[in-house]
Amino acid sequence: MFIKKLGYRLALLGLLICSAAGAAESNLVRVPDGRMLAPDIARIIIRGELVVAILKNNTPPFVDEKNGRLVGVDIDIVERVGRELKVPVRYDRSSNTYDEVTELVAAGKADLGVSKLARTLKRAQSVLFSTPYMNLEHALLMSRLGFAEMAEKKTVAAAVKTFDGKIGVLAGSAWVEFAKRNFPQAVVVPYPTWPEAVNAAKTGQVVAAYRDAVEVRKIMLTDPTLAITLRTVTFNDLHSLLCVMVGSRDTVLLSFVNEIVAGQTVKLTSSELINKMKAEQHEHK
Amino acid sequence: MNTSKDTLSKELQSNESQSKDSLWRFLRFTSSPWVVLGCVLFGIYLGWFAPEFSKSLKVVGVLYVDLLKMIVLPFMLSAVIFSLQKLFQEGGTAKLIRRVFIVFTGFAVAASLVATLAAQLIQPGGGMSPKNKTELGVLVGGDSNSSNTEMSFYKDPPAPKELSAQDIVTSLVPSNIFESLAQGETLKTLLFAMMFGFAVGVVPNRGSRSLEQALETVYHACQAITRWVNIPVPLVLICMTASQIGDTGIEPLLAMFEFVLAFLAISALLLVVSLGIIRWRSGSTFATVLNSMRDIFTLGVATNNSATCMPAMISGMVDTLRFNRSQVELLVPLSVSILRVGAVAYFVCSMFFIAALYDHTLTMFELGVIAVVSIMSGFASIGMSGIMTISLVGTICSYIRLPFEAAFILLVAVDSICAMARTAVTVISSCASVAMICPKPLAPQENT
Repeated sequence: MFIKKLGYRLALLGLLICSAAGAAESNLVRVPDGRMLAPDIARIIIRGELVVAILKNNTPPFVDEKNGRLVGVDIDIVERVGRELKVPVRYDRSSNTYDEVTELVAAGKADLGVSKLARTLKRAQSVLFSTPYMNLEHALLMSRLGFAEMAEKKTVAAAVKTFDGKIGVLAGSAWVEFAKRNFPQAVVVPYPTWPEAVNAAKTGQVVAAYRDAVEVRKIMLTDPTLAITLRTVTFNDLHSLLCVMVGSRDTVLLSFVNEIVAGQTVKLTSSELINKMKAEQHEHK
Repeated sequence: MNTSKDTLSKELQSNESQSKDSLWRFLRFTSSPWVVLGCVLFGIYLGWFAPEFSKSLKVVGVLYVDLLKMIVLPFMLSAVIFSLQKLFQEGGTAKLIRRVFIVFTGFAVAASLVATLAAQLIQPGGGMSPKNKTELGVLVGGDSNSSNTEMSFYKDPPAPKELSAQDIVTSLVPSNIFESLAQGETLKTLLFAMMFGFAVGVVPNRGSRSLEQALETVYHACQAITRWVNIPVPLVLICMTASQIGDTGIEPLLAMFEFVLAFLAISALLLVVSLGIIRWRSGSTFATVLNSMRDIFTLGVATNNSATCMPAMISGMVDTLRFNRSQVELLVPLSVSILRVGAVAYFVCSMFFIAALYDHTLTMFELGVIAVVSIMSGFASIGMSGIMTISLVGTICSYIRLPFEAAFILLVAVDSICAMARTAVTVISSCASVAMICPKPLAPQENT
């Protein structure tokens, strides 16, 4: 009798061990509604909200506020992720810089990170990136006078490629890394805000401010009178790839986000965004 | 019967003479500087208030300039060959060529110095108000694409073609004169005409007589066509100015008013100096000199094309001022093709404006650089017109490290007016250079 009882218990234990081993192999977690989900997805469902880190300042048309609601290209993507997971989205806007958004996602304090974030080699060491949802051309906003002094008799293309003046970038952004990589002879000067970098180019403190074509062309579209002192250069084969950032262990969530990005019906390009801005500017006039 | 025939003949002659007189009076009226100024102002007014209608008037100007261009090459060929043939027979050609070199260089240097000193005094664009700078900014930034350069970061652009000595020689020597005539290549045709003229000069007189007569006929026929074409000049001037203002609008002219006014003042100064030289060399009164230059000035302003003024220049220098015909016929095409005093003055004035635009104070060294490079650019502008001439300002900018692209847009916007002054200065100063090279006329004729 004892042997029979022991045998039964051992069999149950064996089943439990096998079941546990099976569960560990599939790595699935049961959520309150009974579904078996990947741990990164289950974590969000059990928490009941999707935490998305975005920059404190708006970055229209990617993140903007209209009538007290967040709107924009980036917001559309993460709201879709929330809708598909059937959880509301909570935005963490504590980050002052783009790198701080990355740090929040890397530390697991946010599920996703957006705000016109570009993939860089430095960030790729701590977070995962979705497939790009937009490519923005790189661009320089140059002081005409400063550039003429630097270029001397070189052509624009030759002078830009051997850029050896001061180049202003937004501190804590991907542009610090891009500037060091693409213009190795330049002196990279980080500025706390983009308007300060632009002002540095206007006043000749730096020869150029470096960012994506949308931000750079926006400056000239907003104030055409600057065309006397400033000019822009856009690179048609140098792109900033905008992606959604995901924690380094959240591989299923990454795949899920990739599906959402792949299913985007409207995919804007930087030239379309610039034309849209031009049309808005024209209407405004 | 005979008496009535004589009376009828006299009446007919009298009527013919009266109609000639009235045509002559009309031509004098149309070439008056005041009529020219009035037509330009009316053209600006018309282009401003009726831009769409004015744009449609462009065809009048195009037709007119084409009509004048039509006779430039046959006229130049006949004039140069004819004159060289005579000069060769008379002797002294080598001396003449030496004088051409000295006078042309001297004129370019003097024009650059006068323009630099005048611009230093006037300061084109100096003291520009912030409001004016904003207006200029709107002009440049109106089309946002004009301030943007799209380029490849990884691919090297094709290296810009640098002009070698070989290219310059190739551009001067025609391989096929008929092709050069068909293409309207003035410089190549000029070189052919000069070589051909020398060659005809060594042919015995008996053999070349028939060619001489044929060339003289072509020459006079071309001059007659020029006189006919000159009749509607005021109308053409109104149409051309109106269509240009209709295209660009009045705004560029208002925003660039200071620069345009400064360039017009410098041009006026160079015109007065040139007229003074012509008066001194011709020994005529100032009124006679002014009279001889009226048609040339009017044509220059109306067509913006110095080559089309050649028949009028020869006529003015020979018929009114009595300079040696053979020499004038050779030197006018040479000076019009090589000596660009108007362009030199324009380069200097533009550089002062660009420096003022960027609040850059020009040092003495930079002033010297501007003066020297403007002279070189003046000779480099041979065969160029309009926008190509303006683009040479960029070369001078690179020497004193000033940006050019924004200023280029501004200069192009008001070139319809500046080109008038540039051409007028080029043609009148060319006449002055010819007057310097040719010996003084023996018996000055007043009011011919």
